[in-house]
Amino acid sequence: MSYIKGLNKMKIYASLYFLSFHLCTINAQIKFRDTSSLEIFYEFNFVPDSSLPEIKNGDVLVLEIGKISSSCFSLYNKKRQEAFLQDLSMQSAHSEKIVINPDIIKLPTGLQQIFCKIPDQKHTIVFDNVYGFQCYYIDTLNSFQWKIMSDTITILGYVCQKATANFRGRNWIAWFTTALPYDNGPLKFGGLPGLILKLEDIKNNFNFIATTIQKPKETPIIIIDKKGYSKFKRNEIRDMHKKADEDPIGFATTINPNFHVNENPHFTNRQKKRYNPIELE
Amino acid sequence: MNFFLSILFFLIIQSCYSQKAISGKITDSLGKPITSASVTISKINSPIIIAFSITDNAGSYEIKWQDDADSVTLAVSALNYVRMGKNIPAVSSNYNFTLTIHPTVLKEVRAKTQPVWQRKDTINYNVSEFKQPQDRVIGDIIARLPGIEVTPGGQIKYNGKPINKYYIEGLDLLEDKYGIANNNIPAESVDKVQILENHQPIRVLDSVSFSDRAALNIKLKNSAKMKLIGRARLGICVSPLLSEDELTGMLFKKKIQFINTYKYNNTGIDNTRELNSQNFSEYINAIQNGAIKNDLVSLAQPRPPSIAQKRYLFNNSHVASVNQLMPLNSTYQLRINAAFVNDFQRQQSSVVTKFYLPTDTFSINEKNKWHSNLNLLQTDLSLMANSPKFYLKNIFKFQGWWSVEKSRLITGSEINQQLSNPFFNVSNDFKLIKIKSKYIEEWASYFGYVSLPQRLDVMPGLYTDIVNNNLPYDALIQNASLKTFYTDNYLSLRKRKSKISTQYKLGFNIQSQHLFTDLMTEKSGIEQSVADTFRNKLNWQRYRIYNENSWVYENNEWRVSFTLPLNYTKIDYKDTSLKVKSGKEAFFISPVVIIMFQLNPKWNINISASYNRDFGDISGITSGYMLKTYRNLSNNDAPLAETRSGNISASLTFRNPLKIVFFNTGIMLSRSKSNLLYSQKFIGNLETLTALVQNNYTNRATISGRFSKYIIDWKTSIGFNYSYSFGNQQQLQQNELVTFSNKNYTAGATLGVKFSSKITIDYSGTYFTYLSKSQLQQSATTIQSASQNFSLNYFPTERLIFRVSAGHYYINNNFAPSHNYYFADINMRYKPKKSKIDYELTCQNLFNTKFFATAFLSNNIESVSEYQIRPRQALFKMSFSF
Repeated sequence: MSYIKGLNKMKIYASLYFLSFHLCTINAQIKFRDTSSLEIFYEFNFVPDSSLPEIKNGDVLVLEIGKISSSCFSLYNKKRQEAFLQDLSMQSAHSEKIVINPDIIKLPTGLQQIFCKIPDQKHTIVFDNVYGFQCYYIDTLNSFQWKIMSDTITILGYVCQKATANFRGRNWIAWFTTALPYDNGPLKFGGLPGLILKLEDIKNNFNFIATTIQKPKETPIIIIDKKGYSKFKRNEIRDMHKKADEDPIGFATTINPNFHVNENPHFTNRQKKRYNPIELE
Repeated sequence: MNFFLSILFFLIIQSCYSQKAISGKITDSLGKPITSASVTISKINSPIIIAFSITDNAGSYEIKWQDDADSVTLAVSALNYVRMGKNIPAVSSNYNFTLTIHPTVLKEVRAKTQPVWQRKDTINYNVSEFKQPQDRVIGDIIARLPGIEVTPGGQIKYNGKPINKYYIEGLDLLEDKYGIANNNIPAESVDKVQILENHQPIRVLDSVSFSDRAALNIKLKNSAKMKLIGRARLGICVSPLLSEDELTGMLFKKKIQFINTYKYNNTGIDNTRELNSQNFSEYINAIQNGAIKNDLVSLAQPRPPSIAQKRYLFNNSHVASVNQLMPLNSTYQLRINAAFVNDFQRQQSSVVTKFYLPTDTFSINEKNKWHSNLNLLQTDLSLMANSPKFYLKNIFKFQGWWSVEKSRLITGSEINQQLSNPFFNVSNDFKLIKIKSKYIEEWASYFGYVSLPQRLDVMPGLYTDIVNNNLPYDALIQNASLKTFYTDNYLSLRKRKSKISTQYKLGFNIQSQHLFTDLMTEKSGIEQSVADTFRNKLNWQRYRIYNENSWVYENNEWRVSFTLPLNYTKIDYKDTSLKVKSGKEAFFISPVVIIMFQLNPKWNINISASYNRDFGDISGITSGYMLKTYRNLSNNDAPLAETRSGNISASLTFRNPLKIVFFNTGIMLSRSKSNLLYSQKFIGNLETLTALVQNNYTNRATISGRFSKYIIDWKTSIGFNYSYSFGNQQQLQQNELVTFSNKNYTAGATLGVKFSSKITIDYSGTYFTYLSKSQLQQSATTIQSASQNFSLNYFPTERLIFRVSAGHYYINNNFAPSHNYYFADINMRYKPKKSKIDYELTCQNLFNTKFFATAFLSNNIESVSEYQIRPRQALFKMSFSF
């Protein structure tokens, strides 16, 4: 009987591992709520592999602008910042394995990061998820040396003016409109006297163009919550990505030994993730 | 020289384009600074900006520019303020502005179609974008969607959390048994898979209770909505003659939805798994009330071997399920879920069991031919109302098992056994949720009736000295019947909004049971009770009033949760044949504390402690002997058991994603006290267990840990794990108090190597030692086992998948020679281009291993069980959708 009991305890112990997996992701619970007053949708096209510039992937980015903050994220990869531990349900406490699906890694899933700008603190907080490992870093807000050009184009009926800047190894062209007095734009970009409606790098590896500008009907709430994310430096997270992209499944199952790759044979294909970071430096 | 040239150049530039700077402050009419306002310089009468500045927190700005114009336009704009501009001379100066409030009216613009996204967080996945050639059913695609994982048990998780609903066209047809849909809806019929994030399935709670779970909704193609769709699968094997077939028909209309399936196989696949509920809390509730099948008598079957079930399951199984949903009106829905299983299983095994007793050691050899015939019917009839005002759900359930097991056992002589172990359960579960101004009110009422009329026949008549005054007879019969009525009712109040979340629950639970057991002998068709000491006629009433309160506190580094369940329990029981009445009552507190502490991003600590006290159940007060298996006779002529147990555990985790290293180690201590001690005696082969009043303790400690590291240069992940546990337990053997100390060690290693994107290999190995020793023994009894598994995956093209796997198992114990067992399987799948059919070839047990043994050691009992294994089988499968 004691053997059986021992087994049960092992089971409980296994669920303890599971618990500790969640715990590791708990971090500072800096949380504030803001009401989004404007939403901009950008069509985002990018070259996932710089050696094959003709292959492009698409994504849709959402930029939500609130009174004291803004948040930019990919539609498909939008991550909730609600804590795992909020309700550790019966199901999760009793499952001994966490199974990740390697095909998620293979897919052209777009942008993993969430960019939160907080002008009062001169911060852009970048939330990232490196194959299951949740982390964030703090970057200086709008550290761009924009050069204003006289060229103009019209996007969504707004006259936009050109500005250029070099940002961490890539040369960018931004088109902003003073008619929308928000010093904001996709990802970390901003700091111009109007909203950026179009953004591209000169090699055209990355291309953002606004497709929709709307006022949310139900005054939604942006929740920025660092709980569940560990703080790192920018270059540390870059390094993590570089290593993890070589063998995502190997990385994820090493960092979280409770992760098990599905036993279905066509799930076990361990592909290298193509690597073409937005910031080269 | 260069230096002077540049100075000169600089001076020339300066004279042409002298740098100008304008600074100032932007405030509102109350004098408060306006931040993030943009201040721009442009040429007069031109919209083209030359230079700009954004105001800081103090509302200050500074613009520097170089230009030859005499005057420029300085403009200030900020959100929700009137834009201001004026022409100024192009010289360095200071300009302050005071802006007046005016809501900025923005025009909404949409360039293309609305992106696939709505405010209520619905993510639409177009199935066509994610579909791969090999996909057959929707489950194949769902498993691949970003953010979704599917566990081996079939549970779907979104962002690491189980989904709370699986809808088809917005209707909840299958509740938590969604595996039926997931494994059967053809991938071609589905248009979209929607993820409803933060979905609150109970509409009443929509505005008050935030849900962090998602629901999944299947949107079908229009062509699939009106007609019957389905899937069929055919699998054959010629030698031995095997078959694996499936047929599923589905209809999804607005007025009615159904999924009906039929599956057959005799290849070792357990199709009843998809009928299993994915809801664990419901299962725990059933355990507590005695509403799960827990047989009173059984055939002495060895425990299942430690390999995959498909290797040793000799089955012949038919599973049919009917799932139908009808919306009655906009609020009410009626649903029927029914399943019928007919399964014929057989197994041959041979078991050697050794008992180490204070005076001697003896062993029992059993060769067992066993088969069972199971008929199972389960039906759920549900009425649901899900409106913004209230939530109501009433489920009426019926579960019936008609099962007969037979065994032909050779242990010295031949013993034939027949077991009839049916089980019936009727229950009703009612839940109503309403919202009040400050709290959420939940009323629940649950009641049910369970019947277990069971019977074990053992032939020929054994133990004539004990049961029949040394006279021969034909068969020994144990009748056992347990009837249970139970009800659980509670009111729970949850605070609507609070930083420290609290929940209060008040309820009562009544369990009323009647147990009747009678040991009988049969001679020439006449059945006769053995004696009153082999009979139980018990009535049991348990009343429980409970109150559960829980609090959770969280801050930056800490999370502390505290649960304090209180209950008052009163038990009355009566032995109607002995006319003895007895009872017990007590007030129990069972607190649980969980503390989690994050030292830094890499290190964290987890501590938990719990204490629990409870009474035993009706099986602990059977004063008459009961034949539980053909060689186990036990009684509990003792007062009601009372157990207390305490648990403490702590663990430490280190995780460094930069070095790709993980490490975890933890300890767990437990101690429990029971007022009853079991005395084990042997009369020949017959084991008798008798409960005696004597306080005794069971202690256990477990230390375990895990380490894993990824080596980037070799594209290899390595992992190690270990566990060591030890403990002791007391037992009375042949009237001697014996303390057993048990120890076990486990060590394991894993390796994963990626050779290329087309070839990967995985290896895992585990070594296990178990030691048991009593104070009477000179040396400990030891068993060892080891297992190794290896698999290789090869993907020559997208349409072809090739997998080889092999396993090695080793066991060693004291009384049989050590053994090695080898298994190997091959699996191939192919789907031709533009074909509705896909093909699969599996070969199982290539080495044609015939037997497999598992060793087992617990206190003074050691056993080795050998099982028959399914022979080599090659199966060719075809599946298609219609």
